[in-house]
This record gives sequence, C-alpha cells and structure tokens, in this order.
Amino acid sequence: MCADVLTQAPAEEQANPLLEGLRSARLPAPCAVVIFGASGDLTQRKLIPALYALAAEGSLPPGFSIVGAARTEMDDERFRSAMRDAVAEHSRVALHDDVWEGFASGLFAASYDLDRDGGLDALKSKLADVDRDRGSAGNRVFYLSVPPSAVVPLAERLHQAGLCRPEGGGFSRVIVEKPFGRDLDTARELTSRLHEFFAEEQIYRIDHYLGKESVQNLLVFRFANGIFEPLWNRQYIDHVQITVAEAIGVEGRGAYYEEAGALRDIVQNHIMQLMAIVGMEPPSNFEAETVRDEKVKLLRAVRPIHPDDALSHTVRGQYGGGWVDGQEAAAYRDEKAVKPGSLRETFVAMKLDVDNWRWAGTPFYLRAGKRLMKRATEIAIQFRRVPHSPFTGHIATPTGALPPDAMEPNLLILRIQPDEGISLRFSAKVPGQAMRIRSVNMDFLYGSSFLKESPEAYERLLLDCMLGDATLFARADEVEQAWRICTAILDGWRAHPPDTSRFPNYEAGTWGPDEARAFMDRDGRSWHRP
Amino acid sequence: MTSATLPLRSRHASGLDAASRELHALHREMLIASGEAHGHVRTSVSNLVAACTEPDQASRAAAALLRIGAVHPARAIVILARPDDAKRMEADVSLHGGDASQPTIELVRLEVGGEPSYHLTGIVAPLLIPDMPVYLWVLGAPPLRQAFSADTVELTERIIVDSGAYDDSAATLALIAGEQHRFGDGLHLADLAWERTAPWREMTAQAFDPVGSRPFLRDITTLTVRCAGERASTEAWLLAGWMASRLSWPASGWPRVDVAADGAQAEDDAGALIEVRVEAARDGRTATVHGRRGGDCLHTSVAIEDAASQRTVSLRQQDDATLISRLMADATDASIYAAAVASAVDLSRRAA
Repeated sequence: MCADVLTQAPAEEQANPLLEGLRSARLPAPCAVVIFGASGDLTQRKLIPALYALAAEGSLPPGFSIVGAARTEMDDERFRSAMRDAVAEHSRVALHDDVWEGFASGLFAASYDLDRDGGLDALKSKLADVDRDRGSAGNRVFYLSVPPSAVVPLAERLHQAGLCRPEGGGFSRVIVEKPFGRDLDTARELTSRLHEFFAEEQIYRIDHYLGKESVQNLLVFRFANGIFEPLWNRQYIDHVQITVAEAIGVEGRGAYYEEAGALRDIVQNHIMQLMAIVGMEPPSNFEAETVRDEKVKLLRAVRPIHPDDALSHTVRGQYGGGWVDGQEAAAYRDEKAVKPGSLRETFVAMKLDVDNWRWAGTPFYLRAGKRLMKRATEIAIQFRRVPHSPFTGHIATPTGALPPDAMEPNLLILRIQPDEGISLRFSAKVPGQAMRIRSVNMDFLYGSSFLKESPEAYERLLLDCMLGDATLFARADEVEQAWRICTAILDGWRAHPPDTSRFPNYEAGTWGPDEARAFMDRDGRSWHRP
Repeated sequence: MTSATLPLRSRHASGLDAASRELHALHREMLIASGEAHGHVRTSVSNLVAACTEPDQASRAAAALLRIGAVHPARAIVILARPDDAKRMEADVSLHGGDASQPTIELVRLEVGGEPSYHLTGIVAPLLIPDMPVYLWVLGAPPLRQAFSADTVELTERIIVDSGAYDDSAATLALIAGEQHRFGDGLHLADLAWERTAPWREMTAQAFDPVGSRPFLRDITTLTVRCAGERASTEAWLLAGWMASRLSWPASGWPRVDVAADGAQAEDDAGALIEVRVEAARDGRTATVHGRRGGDCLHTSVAIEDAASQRTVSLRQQDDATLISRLMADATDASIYAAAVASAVDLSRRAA
C-alpha cells in the first residue's frame, strides 16, 4: 500500500528512531505464518501456544496472521475453537480473553490437496485476503509440519502456486523439520530438491534443541567468559562426553523408530549440534553465517569412522523389559508396530576424533538412548589430571576405600535438561588437622538462581524465523557434514549387522548395555553418571 | 505467601558486625542441614538496597525485594532510617529461596535510629557483597535530592526512584533534569514511572515500524496523552517528552501536544496512562495510531489510509518488584531517558 512512499523517502525517513533502546526492538514485519499439518499434534501442543505467547507479550506486530492448512476441510471458527483449547492446555502464558480475541481475529483455516494441480488455490486465495485485510504485504512463513515424504511435493506445489517468491518485496521463508534425509545421499537429494523452489537463505531447518535457553547459554558460557576459553583445548581437556538420555520409550512411534533408530533420531541432529557448539572456534560475531561457518568447520574436522571400524568405535543397544521411574517398561520388541525380531538400535555410543589444532588427541564420546535410567541431556568436559600430585596418600574417598594415587580430575558439567545448570568439580581440603583432600562440586542451577520463566524453544525459533535470523537453524552444509559422519557408521553397521540373539542387550531403566561400559574401560575412562 | 517469602532460616542481631556474623552462621546451618557432601551454593548477581523512612514502606520493600530475588538472586538490605528515634541498630537476617537447599536471597532488615540515620552509605557498605552491583531503591517520596549525594552516586550502580510518587510533576522532572546535568554520565538513574510507560512506548514504536508507516513519523500533527487522575502525571509528560526527543521536535515545527488527566477520581492508578493518540499527515495521506487501556490489556489500532489493523497485548504487571526486575535484567539506554526528561520539562513549561 505504502511501498511507493518508502521508495520515495530519503534514508532518514526510513529509520524508526522510536524503536531505539526499547526491549521489543525485535519486532517482525507483519506477516502470515502458514502451518501445514494444522490438525497435527505439534501445532496444538507447541506451535500455536508459542505464537500465542509471543502475541500476548507484544512480540508480534499488528496484522500478524496464522493460516492453518490441513488436508481436511475446516472453517475458521472451528479452527479457532480448537486452537483456543490448545492454548488453554499448553501455553506457557495464561489464556486471556481480550488477548485471545485479538489473536483469534488473525487465525484462519484453509484446506489443501497435494495430489492435484491447483491444490493450493484455496490457500492462495486466503492469503490474498489476509494481505488485503490485515496488511501482511505478502510476507509469509511456511511451517511444514508434515511427514518427510510430503515435504518436497509441498514445496513444489508452493512453487507452482507462485508462493515461494512473493511479489512486491515481501519475504517468503519455509521451516522444515527433521529428519533432513536418512543418510548423506538422501539429505543431499532433499536439499537439492528444496533448492529448486527455495533459495538456501529462505530455508530454516528447525532443531528445537537450538532454541533451548540452556543451549544458547552454552555459547555465552564459552564466548563471554575469559577464564574457560584458554583451557578449552587438547592441552587441558582429556575428553568430552555428550549424553542425551531418555527415560521414555518410543511412545507409540514404533513405526517411525523402526526406520530411524537412535543414530538418526538423536545423534545426527541434536548431538551433532551440541558437539559443534562445544567444539567450534570462537565466531567473530553472532551473525547467522559466521556462527554456522564455525560449526561447519568443526563438523568437517570430525574424522569419519571407517565402516570397518564401526564396531570398534561404536556400541549399539536395544532395550529389553525393565523398570523405569517405578513403572514396568515393555521391551522395545514388544512396542506397537515394532518387528518381533527387530535389530533397530535404541541406544548408541561412539567415540569421535576431531582432526584439528584444538582437539587432536581429545576424543568426543557421544551416547544417546531410550529407556535409560533417567532423562538427562548434558555435556561433560573432563580436564586432564594434574601432572604430579604432592598429595598422594591424602585423598579422601566417599566410600572409605583405599585412597587412589591421583585425585579425581576436574570436571565441568553443562546440563541442558532437566535441572539446567553448570557444575564444576574441583578438589578441596577437608577441614581438620590432617591434610585430607576430596572433590567438591560447585553448582549453578538456573532453576533456583533465575526463577524467571524461560520462553519455550519454539517461541524463540518462530520469532527468529519471522525476523529472518537463521543463527539457530541448521544450514544445508551443517546437515550434510553431520550425515557424512553418521552415514559412515550406518554403512559399517549395515556391513556388520548384529546377531539377532544379541538384542535386546540392556534392561530398561539402566544406563545401557555392558558393552558401553567396556567401551570406555578400554580407553581407561568411564561414563559420567548424570 | 510464596515459598520464596518464607524464611528458610532467620536470626536477630544488634549492630553491623553481629549482622554479618549471623548471616554467616545461617549459611553454616544450611550447610550442616543439607549434609556436607552436597553443600549448598549461594548464587548472587547483585546487592539490592532499599532506603525507607516508614515501617510500612520497609515491609513493602522487603516483600518486593524477595520477589525480585526470585529472578535476580541477591543480598537484599532494607534500611528503615529513623533519625528522630534513639540511637540504635537492630538487624533481622534471613535466608529465603524456592529450594530449601539453595537460598536465592539473603535479607537483612536493618532499623537505624538516631544520628547514624544520616550516614546510611557507611552503614550499607560493610554489608554489601563485594564486586557485585549495588541497586539503591529510594522508596516513597522523601526529598528526592537526598538520593543524589555524591557518595551515594559513587557507591551505587543505579539509583531507583519513582518520579510519579511526587505531587508536582513538572518540578520533579526539572529536579531530575538538573541532577542529570550536574552528574552527567556518573549518575545512573532508573525511574519506575519511566518503566511504566514502556508498553506505551513499545506500542507506538511498533505501530510506526512497518516500512510503509515510517515516513509518517516525520509528519506528526497531533499527540494526545491521557492519564488517570486529576492532573497530568510524570508518566504522561515522559511519554510526550520521549516522542519529542526521539523525533527531534521541533526540528520541523511542533505538532499539537495535548497532555492531560481524565479528571476522574483515581484510587490505585492515579497517573497511569490510559490513552495515547498519534496523528500524522503526509502528502495528503493520514495515519492514526491509537492506544487505549482496557482492564489489564492495551488495545491498539493503527489506521493508515484504507488499511487498519488492531491488536491487543497483555499489559505486563506494573508493580514495583516487576518493574525493578525488568530494569535490572534489561536496562534501557539511559541517554534516551535523560533526553525524554529534558524534553518533558520543555513541554510542561510550554503547556504552562
């Protein structure tokens, strides 16, 4: 409407001096977020509640709209009613009638059909109405909350409908969920197909881990504190452990998990992202491309495990029955939609070497699993022992066992979830006449230090996408590098399938198979117990 | 009462040294209770000091500081200064927190009588956690100039006042402008009245942010600000002053500025902003931004030519603890506040 006003205006008139110094300076331009898969679980549990929280806190502009797109017919009122229930049940921010009324006035429903030409006509027409009535000026975010097989066909239909590159200087972005392929080849194929319809800078690959406050704090911890970075290298760090442990099983997603497994489901995305952040070089600024360049460099430096070494460098496991959180848990093979003789891994542990100046000789041990003893995601940085201890014979042990010759090494734990926080283990003198030394933990707990409620990961990520900030989204080359590492392992596993009788090899409610412990014993190390 | 306001442990002490000792003893008790193997950790990000002259202010301050401590773990010191009383220094020290093993706030309530009441800086200094920022909150409406003594300014990272607590808005703003001029960059002032205008400033800034709307900022014709109560409040003048300073009025002539109260009797919310209207005209086109408070929401409508949009946002809580928490977490640019005060003084003089 006023684009001509802007293009005629001198530079100083394009500025908004009122925004300077305000906390809400990060306000996106009016836009429409189109959610494909609007009747799905994610939309109701996460996406709409996150958008409502942003709206209630004034982080969304007037004229912001949401179009829920689903294959089934749904009118605006029914959609609004269903979303109201979803907000009431799942939102971090309490439902407020007046705020809801304003929010709901920007909620619309549209149906689509991927199987026919013109299957997006109804949506396109709805978006035109939204632009006209609410001033969203052709700005769009398409959230593809759809099965992996529907991503490319949907992108193609968007392209055919002329929605990928809006006219009039607006923006069009697409948010894609994992899995980004099943291996390196399929990931490249997916990227290549998406690039037929969207430029890379329009594609936002979402990994909700990166939206977590504790993961963002990892960047702050590393690059805003001068005392740790000088120690953050092979000279002082013995090894790094990254653990993503889940107490839950496959939760009715047996069919999906049979295809994916722990490596694809957790390691290729969440753990590789954590590893990249822990190991990357300091970026020169916090711009999206700079940060992602550094992450890619780290992943590129990871030495791929040769398929012949896959068995010696990794451990696979599958849970049997057991007890978790005081409840009896079924074996994986007894879960719904899981084959009785399934060889799919529900646990994986591995050792990765990084061939660069900073990390050469300092391995990264990664493990992920379902039905483990507790839910915990953490990064453990184990420092090297002191080169010589003058205190041999003075070390107190919790069990009263004979003192070891060396004190426990310093350990820095970065807890991602739950109990987000940081703890540092160091040695201290036990008060008294004698010289006795023991390890103590210095704990920093977010939960009891900053009781302020953190925004949900999806709030941060959706807002970032609307603002065009891709820092916390995975770039195509990051995804490819992560797949390069994981595909080599998958190739090795395929060449050396486990004997059917070896699975299950760990009891639900334990810390995984015995082989995982032996795997660390072999290197003279042990897993940190979260 | 929330779990944070209930003390985990408390003691009484007479004198400053005793207060420090008792605080240390409380931590030791906590350590023993939690078992040495686990220990307990004190996480602090600041010292919060509230200076009060009346007992009810001290209670209000303590309650607010405990709430703030939940977000910003701190040592909180509430001083009740009673210069006309007999000389004394009595302290109640306590540990509070949401988790029994980890206090988030150490509260020292200190009642000072007699001559020492005039030397509060010297009393506070020994009780502060070293190397942690000090926020001094001056409650109520004592003579404001007392807050700006050189040693107080030197000791504190920020002095928190409420310019809305004084009867004469124009005189209060003029005094603040004068002190800012006197101390220059050395005075770090936070004003709760300014914080209360934040949602309105955000609303106005955001309404003019779409690229098609920005050019209208240079052609504002009318600014109307209304507040509750019987006289134009500092909040109302600060909002107008902010617009004037950010847009460099009167670079191209003053728009019509109308700042007034709605004239209605207001009990709790006297001075609170209730309506802002900004009108602009450019090249025959018009733009109107209208914000109106309704209950605990701010309703905004933006009309630019034929297109109109509305939104409603929740008006964040405006109590003292919330406002102080917010400014501690994310302080706005002091120079913007200073410029707004200076312009507000100009505007109020022009109106007079």
